Amino acid sequence: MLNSVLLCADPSPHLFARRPFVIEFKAVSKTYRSILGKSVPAVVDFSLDIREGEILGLAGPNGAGKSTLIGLLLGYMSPSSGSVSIDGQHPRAYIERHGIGYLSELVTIPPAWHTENALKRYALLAGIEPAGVQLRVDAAIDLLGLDEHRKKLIKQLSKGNLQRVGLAQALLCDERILILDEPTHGLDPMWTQRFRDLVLALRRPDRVLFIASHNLDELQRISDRVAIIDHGRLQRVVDLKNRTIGSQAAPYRLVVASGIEHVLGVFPDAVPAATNEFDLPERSLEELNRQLAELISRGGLVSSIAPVHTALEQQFREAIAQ
Amino acid sequence: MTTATIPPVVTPARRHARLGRYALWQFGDFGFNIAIVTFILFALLGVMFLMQMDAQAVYFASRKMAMPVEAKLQSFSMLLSMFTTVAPFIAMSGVVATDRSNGYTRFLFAKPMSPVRFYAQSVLVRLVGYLVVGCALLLVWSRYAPPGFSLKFVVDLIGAFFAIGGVIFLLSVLSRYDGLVAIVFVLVSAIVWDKWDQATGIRHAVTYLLPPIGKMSATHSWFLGLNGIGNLVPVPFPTKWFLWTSGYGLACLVLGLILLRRVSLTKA
Repeated sequence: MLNSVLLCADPSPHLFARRPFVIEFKAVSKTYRSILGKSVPAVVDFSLDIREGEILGLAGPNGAGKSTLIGLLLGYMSPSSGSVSIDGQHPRAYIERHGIGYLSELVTIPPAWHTENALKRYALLAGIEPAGVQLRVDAAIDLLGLDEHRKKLIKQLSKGNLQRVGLAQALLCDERILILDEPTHGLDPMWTQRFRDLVLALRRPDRVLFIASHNLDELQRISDRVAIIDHGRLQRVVDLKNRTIGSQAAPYRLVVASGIEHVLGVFPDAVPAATNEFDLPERSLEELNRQLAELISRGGLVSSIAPVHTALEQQFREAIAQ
Repeated sequence: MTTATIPPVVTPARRHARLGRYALWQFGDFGFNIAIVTFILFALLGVMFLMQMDAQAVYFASRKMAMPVEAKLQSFSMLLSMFTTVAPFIAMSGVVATDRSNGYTRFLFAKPMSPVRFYAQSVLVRLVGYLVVGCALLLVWSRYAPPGFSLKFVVDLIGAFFAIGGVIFLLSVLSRYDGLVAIVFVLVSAIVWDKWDQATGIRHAVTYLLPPIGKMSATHSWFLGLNGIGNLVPVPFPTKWFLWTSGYGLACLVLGLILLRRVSLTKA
């Protein structure tokens, strides 16, 4: 009963044809041209495939081309060259037939709308049957903790609450493709954590989640792969699901419980960071383990050793430095 | 948030936005944002015109004469000219540009619907709303002075809506300053037609590029049954000017809908 109410349309026996990739960017470039003829390349020769069931993160510094890429994926603008497809179709053709869940970086909803009414409108536009709109809106309001705000005007909402309304409208229908642009922007730490839980609950074998964020820690926690772009170019794709800890050099933070006097003897280049804490400049895993064994053999007691940057941060830094 | 789960469901192969049901929300928006303002504005203007007519009636009464119907109709004709020019402006200004420049299109067009259908429906809603306001104003007016309601009035309003509103729609697809550009465009058209309608050569040819907005008065005359010198006589339907002005606007409207497929949906 509950499932039938939450359906966006009449159940159909025709499911999507299985394809190896749901979203495909093929050598996509986008150049903005001003009236005066000045051209600014926003995306350059970008190619990427996204598989079913995947959560793909998109990271990049400000102005790297993330929003343009999402605009191209939604078919809101056309690429200057190359092609973007969803299920083998032009993005607009796909979206106009099936819809997608989309949360934009800036949540733009007319300020004079009431929260609940805004969601009702979006539910109708998402194709939810009129009889099921109220139930689905109530479910989304409950899911995003918006009950106390349902009668408020959009303009009365705080940034975090507005972000949750934006997320609620993206989740109104059981979309197969979800595109979330800076989804935790403005959320407090509690809701940021809940958002992560929500995303993990949204994972489904036939669903694609495309999440653009500045928050590398967040992407590391929820993504299978993260595409890093800079200056409109795809710099690298970090596979977090199947990553192997390589022997690439990285800086570490060492904390010792005792034997502090031995640290500088074993790690001559260590820089004291705080009481009992040292920053170790870049070194390979092999060298690090050899030095740690030496420290322990001298009587040092290691409390913790961790990379200064997460694996993704490290990859991000390297990609951007290139 | 009680639970962080979404019930698993089968994704249907295809769905579509419930645009028909959404039209009720669009009518509500039109009512609150446009209809009330338009009604109040023209009701106030109507009151001023009626007061002026009362003053004229006193003048006629002092000469032991009743105020002629032609004079009352001419007074209404001026009000009608204002309404058919300004009301479509108010109704259609920003129809696309507001959504794009404020970013409302982002969520709208992630839903399963085409912008062409959405905005075609939006225009239809505005047309119906504009007609309801126009007819309501006429019904109120007709309690105090002629003319009474007739279908000719509706035809007149529809022609004016497409003539002005169609141009504004196209400009709204192309620019965020649609209202301002439309005012300039209509003024230039009116001036060019006034100056060069009787000219010859290239000047006359230029008039064919612009809509003869001033000729909308011919449809008002047909509705009111007033000829050029203000006599009450049957006036034939101005087919040429009606088709030209409305057709020009309708062509702009269709072109705007076609261009919606080609312009960026997020920038204006």
